[in-house]
Amino acid sequence: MRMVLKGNGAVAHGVRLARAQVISAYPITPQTSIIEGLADMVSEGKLDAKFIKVESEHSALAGCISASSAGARVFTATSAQGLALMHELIHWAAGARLPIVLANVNRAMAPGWSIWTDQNDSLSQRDTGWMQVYCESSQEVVDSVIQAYKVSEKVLLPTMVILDAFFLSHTYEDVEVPEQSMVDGFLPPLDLPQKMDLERPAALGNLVFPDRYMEFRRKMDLAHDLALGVWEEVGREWGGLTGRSYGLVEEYRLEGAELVFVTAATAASTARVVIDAMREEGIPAGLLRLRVFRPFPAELLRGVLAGRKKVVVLDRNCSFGHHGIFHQEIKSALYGLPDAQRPPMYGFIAGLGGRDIRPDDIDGMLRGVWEGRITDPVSWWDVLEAKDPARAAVVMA
Amino acid sequence: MAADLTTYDPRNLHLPEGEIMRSGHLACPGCGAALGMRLALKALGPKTMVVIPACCWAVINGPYPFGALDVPVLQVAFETAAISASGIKAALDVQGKDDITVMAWAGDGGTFDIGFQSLSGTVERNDDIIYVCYDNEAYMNTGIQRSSATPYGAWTTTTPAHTPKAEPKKNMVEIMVEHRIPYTATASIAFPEDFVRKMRKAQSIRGAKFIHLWISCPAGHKSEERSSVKIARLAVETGVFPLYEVEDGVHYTINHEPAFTDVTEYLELQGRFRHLDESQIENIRRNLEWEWLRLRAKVEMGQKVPSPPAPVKAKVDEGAHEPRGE
Amino acid sequence: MVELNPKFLEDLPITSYSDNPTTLIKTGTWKYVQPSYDDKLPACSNLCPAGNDISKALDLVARGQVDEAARLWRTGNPLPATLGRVCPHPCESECNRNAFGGAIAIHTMERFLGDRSFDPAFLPEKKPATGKKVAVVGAGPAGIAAAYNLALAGHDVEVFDDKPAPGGYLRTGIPDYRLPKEILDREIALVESLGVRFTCDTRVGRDVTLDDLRGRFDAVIAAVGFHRSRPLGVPGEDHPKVYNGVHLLERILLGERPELPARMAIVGGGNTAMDVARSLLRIGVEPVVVYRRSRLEMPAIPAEVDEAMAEGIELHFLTAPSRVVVEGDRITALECLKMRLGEPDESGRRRPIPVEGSGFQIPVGGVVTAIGESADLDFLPEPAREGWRIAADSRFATPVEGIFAAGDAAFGGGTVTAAVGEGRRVAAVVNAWLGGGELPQEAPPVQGLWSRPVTIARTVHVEQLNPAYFTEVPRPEIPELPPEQRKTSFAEVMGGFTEEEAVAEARRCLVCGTCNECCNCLYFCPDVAIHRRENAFGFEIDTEHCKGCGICVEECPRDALSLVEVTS
Repeated sequence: MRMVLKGNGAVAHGVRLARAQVISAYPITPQTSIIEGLADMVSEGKLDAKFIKVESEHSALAGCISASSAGARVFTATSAQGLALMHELIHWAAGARLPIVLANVNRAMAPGWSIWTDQNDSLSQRDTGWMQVYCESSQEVVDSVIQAYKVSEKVLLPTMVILDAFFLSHTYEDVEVPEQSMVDGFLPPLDLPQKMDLERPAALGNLVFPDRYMEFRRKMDLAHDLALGVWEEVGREWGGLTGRSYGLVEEYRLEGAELVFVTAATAASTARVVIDAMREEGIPAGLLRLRVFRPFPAELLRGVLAGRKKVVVLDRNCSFGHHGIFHQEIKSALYGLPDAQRPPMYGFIAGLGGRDIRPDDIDGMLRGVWEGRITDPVSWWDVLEAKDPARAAVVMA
Repeated sequence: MAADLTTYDPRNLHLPEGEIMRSGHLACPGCGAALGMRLALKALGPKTMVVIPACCWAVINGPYPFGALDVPVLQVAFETAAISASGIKAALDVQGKDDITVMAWAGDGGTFDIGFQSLSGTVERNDDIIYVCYDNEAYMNTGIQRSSATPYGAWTTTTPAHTPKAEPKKNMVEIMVEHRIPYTATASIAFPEDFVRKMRKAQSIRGAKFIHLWISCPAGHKSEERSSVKIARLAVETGVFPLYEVEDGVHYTINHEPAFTDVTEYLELQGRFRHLDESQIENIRRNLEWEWLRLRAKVEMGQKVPSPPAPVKAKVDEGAHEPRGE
Repeated sequence: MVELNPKFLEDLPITSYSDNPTTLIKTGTWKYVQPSYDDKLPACSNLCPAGNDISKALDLVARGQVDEAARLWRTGNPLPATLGRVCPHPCESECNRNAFGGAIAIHTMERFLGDRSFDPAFLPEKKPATGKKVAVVGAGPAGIAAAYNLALAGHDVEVFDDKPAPGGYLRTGIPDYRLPKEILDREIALVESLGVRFTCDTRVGRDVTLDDLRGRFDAVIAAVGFHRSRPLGVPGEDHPKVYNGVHLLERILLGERPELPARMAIVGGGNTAMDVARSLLRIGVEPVVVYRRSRLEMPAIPAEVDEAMAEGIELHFLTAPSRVVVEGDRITALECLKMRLGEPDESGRRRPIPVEGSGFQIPVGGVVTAIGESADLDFLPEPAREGWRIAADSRFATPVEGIFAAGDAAFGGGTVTAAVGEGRRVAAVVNAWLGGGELPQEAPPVQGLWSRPVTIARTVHVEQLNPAYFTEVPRPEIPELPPEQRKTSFAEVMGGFTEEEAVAEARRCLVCGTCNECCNCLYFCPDVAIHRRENAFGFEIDTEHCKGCGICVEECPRDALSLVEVTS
């Protein structure tokens, strides 16, 4: 069924179609319309779930963890400060190997207060053991939420489905909403192998001495390795059912591309326009959109980027004191290539705190690099210049 | 099989025979928390799931791959006992398993302090769980630091003997009562039948139930292991820890009229009070009197004030929030 | 179950999923002390000369196992129905229940259990015949108890007595209002049912010689009592209206109604004095009791004195006779001196000292002496005699091989209960001697739980109990005949318990020093390390998991547990 949905609405419909059984959530801008939509669906009987209206994000995820441990399919959604408040339990959910799906609407971290998008909130959770999927469109959001349950329940890791604040969360788009019967065939009811069960009483989460802790973490890492293939397999299966296939990354006009632009989320839509224009001009540019960031498809990226002339990475985030996070991750993935195959990389940090990234910006980055005007490995884009960086770092006017 | 000894004096204890807690757990010798859990599960029976946040019981339950309880247990983050129980209950409900009791079992730190917010949320929603705070009056698992449950005058490692805790203990029961939950009660390991009765009563009531269980801690109270039950009994008999229950936020019942033994009998069995001088002890006595005046006034209030009006059943929106007192 | 010793990652769950029971962890290794169920001596049994296992029997009654209790009581005691009427019950004086509502009515309980068990089915199983023969001289309580226990041990026992019927002092010295003779007859019949032969009207030394007995029997037990009364030692006591208390009482009890003065003085403060006074009252004589010390020093059972006073009998304390006043051939009065109490004498009682010039007269027509008794020991060879007493050591052996002794004449216990205890103990010694030909190192203790071992030789007093578990429950009233009805009749004064009353009373018993399965230890153990024993009484400690905290010991209401050091 075709519907006009905001990204947040697409999340709610994905959750409905996945037949989530327990929702535990706390409102935060710009996530609120996700849970409002779900509250309506539960209230109207369109979704047979318990919605625990908790008093904080910390409790929101705690409720999901325990409900999942008791065998229910669960969902929560949050953003920025809320995700940060959850941090302790983000680790917990992954360590407990629970197939929780969380929608995070990317929002910049305070202070000062910002409700607009950037990726530092979700990328701060990079090392927790969660899988992360960055979506570009409302269609991808609804499809990814459903796929996330399938992958999570196969590899027993939680998934964060991530969408940009406002650019995606609050933008209406034409969406093909799948039929329930089709989704039911795709996603069987949850049957956790290890859970709270009166028939098989066990303690979950007991103290682990050093003689075993590493084994559990090794198994978690192996699950991520496994998940790479599962995401691809599930994306293909979904394509077979809907005509919309998904992979770990999306390649756009990469055949013969010597200049590759790499980014994630809605910035990719803007980049497509720029790439098309540059190709018109005869510049061999292409786009590589990162979709699944954890597990990280390092080998795939090596294969795609090997032998390209130049690679430009746009980060709507920053690991302060180092590069943009996608940039450094991709760079490390390419380290295994022979020198001749390893392309030079140029990173741009842009669009933090919701600053718009327009076609001109991407065009400026790509041309600057292609034409050799920009040679710095990392550049902050569209930001006031420092006359003296050492002074600017600490001086208050 | 034991004879029916109910008409004996001493009236012999009559407790459920079923044993859900196992031996071999890692509690210190003489641990009141271990005894408390044992009694609680005797009361609730095998159709129970237990939530344990960070607290002594997170250790007592045993290291991987061992468990001390023959029912499902979920160990959770320090501040999440109450919501974790809510989550389990919700999960069971959607799976149609409505005959399972979910008990959160948290220490005083996890209840009075770090878990206070989540607890308030859960009881305000009146989620159908039993929350037991086993209160040893300090952060014992981390090595005896003060909590807001630590009583006036007590030594802890963060309230050293020359500046012991100057503030009174937080009154957690009254805070719970003011959430207007259907059932709140105090209990003691030294009064096991009363404790078991209260757990079973809590089990029979839909909605949020809060049980405040006073327990001894030989390591943290600096007391003899063998005296654990004796000290718990003296906490009640001196009036330090009244045994009472509150229904619907208004009806107070004192379950055991204390002998009002002088408080020194209680204090002197515990090294954590050894430094107290007579003026400090007198202050404790005066505060005890005041607390009892207040408690008795509430009992009287409850005799005059009716139960709160039954809620009008709004259109069914979602299940987690059950109407009060149902 | 999760693999305890995984070899590959596949052998582990995905997270800390723990389903092995902690019982596999042997936390018992932490401890350096551990609890132990030790039977200690309750304060009651500590004072019971007959060795009755009071607390255990009361515990059985409390459970409704009344027949088992009666059986237990008859284990070594052939006369519970009798003792339940005549025992001075020292057990009750230090009963720990005194602090919580009054002593348990143990005396009445013994009577209840005795009256319930006149059927041979209540007797312990008799051991196979040994072929050994034992003669017992004297069919009083000591002789009966010795005969009973030896017969149970499989020996062939014959009891000789010079009276027409067995029972000794029980028959000739205790009035019917205290001990109906029917009760005594039934208990003796039970002893006979074990094969014991009572040969009466046969005085050893006169009708049969000791040497004859020693020839026919493997052992002889001299269990004779006191039947002679000591003289007053004052002028006028040879008057025919001055009677020997023991003999006068015997005559009255055997049914004689001699012509007696209307008012008579009874001299003495023991049970015989009380029995004589109360019997005289019942046959129409007005008795006046004269005793040289105070009420506190009276050797009579206090309840007997109470009853006598309730019946209106006049008692003069601190009064000693100095002369029987005879005018013509009639006694007109007993002249007395007032006394005061000085330092304690060798008996521990304060010595009476005459008060100068305090002489006064009590008008009476006759006097009865009841100031102590002695035995007739002529039948024994010289080495076995020592003045008024039989020379017997602490193992009941006389210097003459094969001759043993028990009862008043040997040890002067002075009560029926002590005699029963001695009979029980001499039987144990003789049984051992007959079995091995050698005397045992020592006799069973005077007090103790003879039906089971005391594992810690300590008496449980109220300080050892946990008062948190006891409330005040009042002692029941024991029914008794109103004084007006007593004066004119020999009907039994004291009543007994119905079964319901007995059970209720038994449930007041604190069962000091012995586990009664109250379950405090079981329920208060934080380590679930105490379990009910399978198909057996009591609990056992799971030493693999007990951490030795001692809560069970502290919370045991009755001091049935102790902490002992772990030895290994």
